[in-house]
Amino acid sequence: MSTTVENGRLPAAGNSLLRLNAGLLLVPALLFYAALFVWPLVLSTWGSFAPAGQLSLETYAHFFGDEFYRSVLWRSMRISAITTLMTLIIGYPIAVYLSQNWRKGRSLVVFLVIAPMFVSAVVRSYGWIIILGPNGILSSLMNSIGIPMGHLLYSEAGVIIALTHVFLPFMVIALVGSLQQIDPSLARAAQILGANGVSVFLRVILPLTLPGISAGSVIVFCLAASGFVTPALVGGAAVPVMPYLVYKEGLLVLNWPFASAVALILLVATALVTAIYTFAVRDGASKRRVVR
Amino acid sequence: MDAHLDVRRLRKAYGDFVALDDVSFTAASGEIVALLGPSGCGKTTLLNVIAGFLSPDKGTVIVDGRDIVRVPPHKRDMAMVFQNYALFPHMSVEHNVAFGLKMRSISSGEVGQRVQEALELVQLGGLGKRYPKELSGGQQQRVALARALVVRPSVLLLDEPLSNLDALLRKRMREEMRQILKSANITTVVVTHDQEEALVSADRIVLLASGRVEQSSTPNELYERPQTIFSARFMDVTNFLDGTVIGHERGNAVVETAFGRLRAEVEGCTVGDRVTVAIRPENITKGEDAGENCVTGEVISSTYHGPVRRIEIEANGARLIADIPVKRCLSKIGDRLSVSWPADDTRILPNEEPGASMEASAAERVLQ
Repeated sequence: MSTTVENGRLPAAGNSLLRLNAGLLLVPALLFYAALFVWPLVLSTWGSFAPAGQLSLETYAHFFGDEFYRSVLWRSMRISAITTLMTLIIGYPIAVYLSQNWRKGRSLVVFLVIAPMFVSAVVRSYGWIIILGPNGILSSLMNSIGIPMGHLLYSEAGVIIALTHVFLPFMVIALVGSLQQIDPSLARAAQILGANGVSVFLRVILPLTLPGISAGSVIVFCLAASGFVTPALVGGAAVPVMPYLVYKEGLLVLNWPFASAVALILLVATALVTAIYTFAVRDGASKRRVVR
Repeated sequence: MDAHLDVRRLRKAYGDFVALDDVSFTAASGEIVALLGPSGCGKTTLLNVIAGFLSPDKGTVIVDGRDIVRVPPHKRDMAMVFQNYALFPHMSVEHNVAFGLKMRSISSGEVGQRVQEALELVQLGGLGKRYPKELSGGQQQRVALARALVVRPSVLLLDEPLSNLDALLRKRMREEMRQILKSANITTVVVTHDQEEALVSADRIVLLASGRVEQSSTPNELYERPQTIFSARFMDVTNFLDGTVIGHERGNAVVETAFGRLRAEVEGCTVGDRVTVAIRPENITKGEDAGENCVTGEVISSTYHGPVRRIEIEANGARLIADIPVKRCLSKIGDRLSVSWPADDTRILPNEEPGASMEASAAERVLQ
């Protein structure tokens, strides 16, 4: 019964030369990464474990023994998580809009979503300083309509707003890709079987976009956790995050072993969070299939 | 006959293009109606209007006496099988079939029971835990049918349900599907471009052409007594001869054509009428004594079609296509051959104005 044909999977004869040498095709990239990424990572990892030439956990004890450093790690994770959530909430409707090819003005919205990526992070951050600052547009607007509020510059909320703006395109692109793969007749099939708009979304569209949600979230979380320019300019010393700590310890204090340790802790923490998140999403998707 | 589904005077236009032009038909309770026509005839638009995915510019859709044209799809109590089946890829077969029942807030015990019954009805009892991508095309088609039947819809809609299956499986499934639909006694509207599928599976066929109903009748009547050149062409009639009725004789009309005088069945024609004579190729037999009408001409083409050879004969500048059983056919191109056929198999159709015959030739292009 199941004589499924693997569509177009037959290797074209003309490609055999390229297939044989597939390993060779990756050599330039591998060399590049080995020299400029892996080797420095090995060096700084070694440096963090051997601050004075011999093996010790001194730098890590210093980091985890100090409440301030622990709070910085926690803040970095918190800011990244909230930013991810914000981009997801704001980005999903945009992605739904963009995945509907028949929409008029679609290309304009694509441009508006992508536009922030044309501007450097520094310029964008200065833009947010003007908006969020003490006499900025946001606080004067709120005050003028009778809602007194302070300014958001040098606050965690300000950093999250700016990061959300910066990383929204990544989330939208990941979600559009996954939404466009959904066969439009699935939504109609659900409708004619009695599902209203909410049910169509929750039972069909959302589960089928979980891979896109997962990919977009991992990208945004990692970028937000490792972002330096935006937190440094919008948050400054009042909102210290891990990359800021690396910068301060490495370039201002010149404590390279400790800076290396902070960088490695950030790397491991980010990897852990994204791994747990990805597994949770995948697990949730498969559980849904078992529970009636 | 009480109409369970009553589609009245639907019109739908996209700019200048009229997809549906004053389309009406009815379906009695439990009846299977096929919407048949070439691509672009409006049959899919019509199905989408009945389902509620499209709203018509004019006209109404009435189910059980209730006008539902403004009711959204999820409240129409219908079900649909899509051309590509549209099974939910993230759900097992069981969950796909259970979907409509859950949307109707049916208790989980009953859901489980009805899902199992529906799967057994389509002979997929053991495959409930599988996922759609683990099934063959034919199995996916059955899941789609089970998912639609299990909700016991007031109207079942099928959009080219068999077109993605290979030829052998399609032939088997269309008979099986008819049996299932008949035993479930569900009013069904099936869209198809395949006249054979419509003939086999439907109780009634609504033939559509360019957004209008060309003919609405039983399969037998549509096949035996097409009322227009378009209907006849769509039902595999290949021979059309223009002629003039010159008289009546022994219960037959006599028509003067390029092949001389032909006798035809009588149906609403008077002497002097310009008519078109239609003859089905399989009704023509080799030899001179198979019926009242006989033509002798030169064989100009001969094509092998399996059980028959399709022979084309030319005489007096007109051509006639005949399907002759292969064993009886030894004629070569250039031979002279006589063929004959009875007056009963010679149909008289109204001679259509130029615009209409253009549509007929458009239908012919689609069929070839």
